[in-house]
Amino acid sequence: MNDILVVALIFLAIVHSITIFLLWRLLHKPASRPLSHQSSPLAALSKQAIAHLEEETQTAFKSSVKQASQHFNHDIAKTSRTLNELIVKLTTTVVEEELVDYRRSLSEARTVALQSLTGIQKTIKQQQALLQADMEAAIKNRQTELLERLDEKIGTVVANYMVEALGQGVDLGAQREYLLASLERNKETLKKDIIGDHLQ
Amino acid sequence: MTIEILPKIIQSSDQLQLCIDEIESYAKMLVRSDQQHGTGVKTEARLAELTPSSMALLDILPETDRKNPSSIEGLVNGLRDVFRFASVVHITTSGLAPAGVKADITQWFRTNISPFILIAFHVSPDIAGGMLVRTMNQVYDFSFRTQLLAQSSKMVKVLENV
Repeated sequence: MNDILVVALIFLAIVHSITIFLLWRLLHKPASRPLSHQSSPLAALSKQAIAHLEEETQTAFKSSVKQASQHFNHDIAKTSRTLNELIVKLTTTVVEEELVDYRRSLSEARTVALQSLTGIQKTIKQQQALLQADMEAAIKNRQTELLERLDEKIGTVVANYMVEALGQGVDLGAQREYLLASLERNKETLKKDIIGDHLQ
Repeated sequence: MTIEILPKIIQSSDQLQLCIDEIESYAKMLVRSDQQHGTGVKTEARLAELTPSSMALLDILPETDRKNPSSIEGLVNGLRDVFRFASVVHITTSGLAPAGVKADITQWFRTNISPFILIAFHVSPDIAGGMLVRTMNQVYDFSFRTQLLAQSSKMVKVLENV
């Protein structure tokens, strides 16, 4: 806006100058030109009038130029002030605002990152707990299975060991009572089996 | 000749057969002696050659008939019938049973089951102890090995207390 104003003022000044220059030329045209060829109304004026007109024209020109110059200066000062204010505003307010926005964004990003990290840690802990529980259960099951197998097999192992270790070393004389007692316990069964078979 | 019970010294059918053969030979010898009119020392000498098992069988006869060939022949026939019709039980022990143990087991069978039952003794160290009794129809397992294996859960409880 200020630029346009300046340009307009300069244009006006130029136009005024051209006008005044043309007027001046018109007033100071060479005398060699026969008066008979002069048909303009200015030819009829006297030198005094012309000088007066010239002076007024100059004064008006100077006044216009001065006015234009003053106006231009005023505009320049105003523009300069405005520019300064804008610069100050830019360097302070805008930058501060941008910094504030930046800090806020940074804070938000940090908060989101922390929340995400906390969430991840929580999930990891939950997974760890689940995994640990699964592993403990699997270990316990395996332990139980092995113990059952051991219980199942150890009796057989010990019995076979005793059989191998005893070999023929057991005194049958000492077993006499046991052998007769075994027969006595199963007397009826043996009787039915043997006598029944014999009768058949 | 009615035999009431076999002596406990006679156990297996093989032993009985051997005794029957021996007693038969003895009876033939007696007949020859009688024919030769040579009783006395020769007969007594032959009698001394009989095994204790055969002597035990001869003891079934009354004392007066033990040198009578016809009585002995009757005994032999009776023993042959026993051999033919007697039930046989097989007993397996972990080691060689002493004669006394075999006799006691045989006596138990003859007293409680049948007076003419024959017992065949076998050995198998695998059973660790006790015995297996096998009849025609069934096996009766009184072995230590089977009892140890059957009581394996007790072994576990014992170990838990250790």
